[in-house]
Amino acid sequence: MQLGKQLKIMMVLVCTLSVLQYAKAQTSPNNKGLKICAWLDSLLLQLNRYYYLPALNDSVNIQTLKMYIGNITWLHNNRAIDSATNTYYLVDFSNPNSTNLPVNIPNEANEIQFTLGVDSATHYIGIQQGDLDPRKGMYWTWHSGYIHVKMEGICNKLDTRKNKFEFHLGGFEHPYNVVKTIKLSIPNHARHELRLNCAAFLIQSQVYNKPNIMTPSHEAAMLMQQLSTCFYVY
Amino acid sequence: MNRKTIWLIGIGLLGMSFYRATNPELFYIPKGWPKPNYPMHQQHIQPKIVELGEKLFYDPILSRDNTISCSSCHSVYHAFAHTDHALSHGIDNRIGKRNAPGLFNLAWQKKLMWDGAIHSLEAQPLAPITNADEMDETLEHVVQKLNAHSYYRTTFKTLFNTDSISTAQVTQALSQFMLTLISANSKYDKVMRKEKDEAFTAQEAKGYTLFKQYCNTCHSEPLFTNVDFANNGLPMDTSLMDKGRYQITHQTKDSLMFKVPSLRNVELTYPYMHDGRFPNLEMVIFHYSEQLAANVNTHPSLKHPLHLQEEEKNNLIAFLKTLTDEDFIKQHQYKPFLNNY
Repeated sequence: MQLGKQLKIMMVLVCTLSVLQYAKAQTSPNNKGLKICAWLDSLLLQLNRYYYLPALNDSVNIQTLKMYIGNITWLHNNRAIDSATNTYYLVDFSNPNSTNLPVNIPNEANEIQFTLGVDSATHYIGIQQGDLDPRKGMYWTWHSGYIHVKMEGICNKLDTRKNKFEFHLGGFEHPYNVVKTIKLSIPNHARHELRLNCAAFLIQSQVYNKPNIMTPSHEAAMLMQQLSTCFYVY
Repeated sequence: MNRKTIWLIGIGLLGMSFYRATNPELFYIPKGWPKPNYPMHQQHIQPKIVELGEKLFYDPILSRDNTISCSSCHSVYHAFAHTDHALSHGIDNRIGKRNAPGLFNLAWQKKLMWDGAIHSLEAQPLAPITNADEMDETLEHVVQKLNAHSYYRTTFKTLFNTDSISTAQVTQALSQFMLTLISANSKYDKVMRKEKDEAFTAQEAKGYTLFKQYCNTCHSEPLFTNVDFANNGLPMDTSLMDKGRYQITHQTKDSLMFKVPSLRNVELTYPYMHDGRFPNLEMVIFHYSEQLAANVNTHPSLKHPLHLQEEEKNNLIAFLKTLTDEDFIKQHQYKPFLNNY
């Protein structure tokens, strides 16, 4: 076979393989789901365990950590390529099954966007089932609305009863609509874990000044804002 | 009939099958009334679900020890208000901090509770069910008890096609029942509609004139509420420290603001105000006429006491009594169906 013809055949083969590879990438997303993990700086968080945080010069024990994550959207170069609007997951770190979200991850996604908390519109479409059922214990019946994030624990130096702090962060309407939309880059070769650095959050939170936040409020808004900066994709 | 016509009829029939017209006997918009604030398209009100909701309303199964039902504080004979108690009481004789208001025309409300804490009718029942002074129950127990009850199990199965009753279905049934509580047939309504042989007496007509002059800003017709919050110059009861809407919004401007209640059926819904401090209408009028102590947050129309003459006060009360809707009471008297419970 002449060289020119061989080259042409190789070109065709290479192009075909490339197309197939791309098509495979398009049609075979990562179906392992999105893992949510809580960390304390470089340590994987386990609930009900004490950790010494040098930045706080204190020992911290997180006993409860639950949050609503929803409206997950995958983006490529700022363009949405897949999204699950109006779908919310209750992530409860005491229940490992709930920390692996059954979402498909498109391979070409290089950004993720999601809601931390249940948005206002969802509050107005009636009482719901599944993860949004008020029976899940993440709903204020006294002032109707979801608790977007519930974090409870101990800081040994707190002078509260049993050294406890309790953050029940809710609010879905003016002036305290504290729901956050978070957009994160997905690094190359990422393992597609969404991580929350609880140490970074506690340091920002001024927990020693205000250890109990239980209502829609300016403080809840501040804490949700601080939390939103502590997520990253690994 | 040509093919095009057949297609058009077919599409029309298909469209109609998706259109869910609510039975006007269950819910309707009285003539001249504004559109409801409740998203009616979210509910397909059905007689059997309304009946189920009514059953739940009267069933103390919703409370921890199965003694307190919604009707314990919301009596149909008083337009679903709580009478004879300044502060409503619940389980174990615990006394709450407010007076339970009447329930009617709820589709026109925006926020519920005196401080507007609740944003939707479906969410409303969850508050008294879980409040320690009212029914002191958990939603989990409510659902467990209903699922263990053969009547509810089979009825929810039939109506919702479910083998496991959920919170959402319970609140949906209660909401549908509450939405049907429409009060728009008082003497006032019949006079406004110019029905035959219906007319205000001279005293009532004078009272109506006074009402329009002094009260209509907040208690606007035809709902007799502007569906908003107001500070009407009531001094705070220091034994309760109830700051009203402020407790929800934490905005200083909302201090001592409470939801403007509808004055429909006001003759039946004593005692009056959020903490039931006035046992009768005479004392209410006295407050506005002589006792009002305006502050910076008080509604602009109430900056000064009204200083009404005695005759004017009597005329006003005579008019307010024309807002009593006897048909509403009769229509919604609960007839327990003992045989199939």
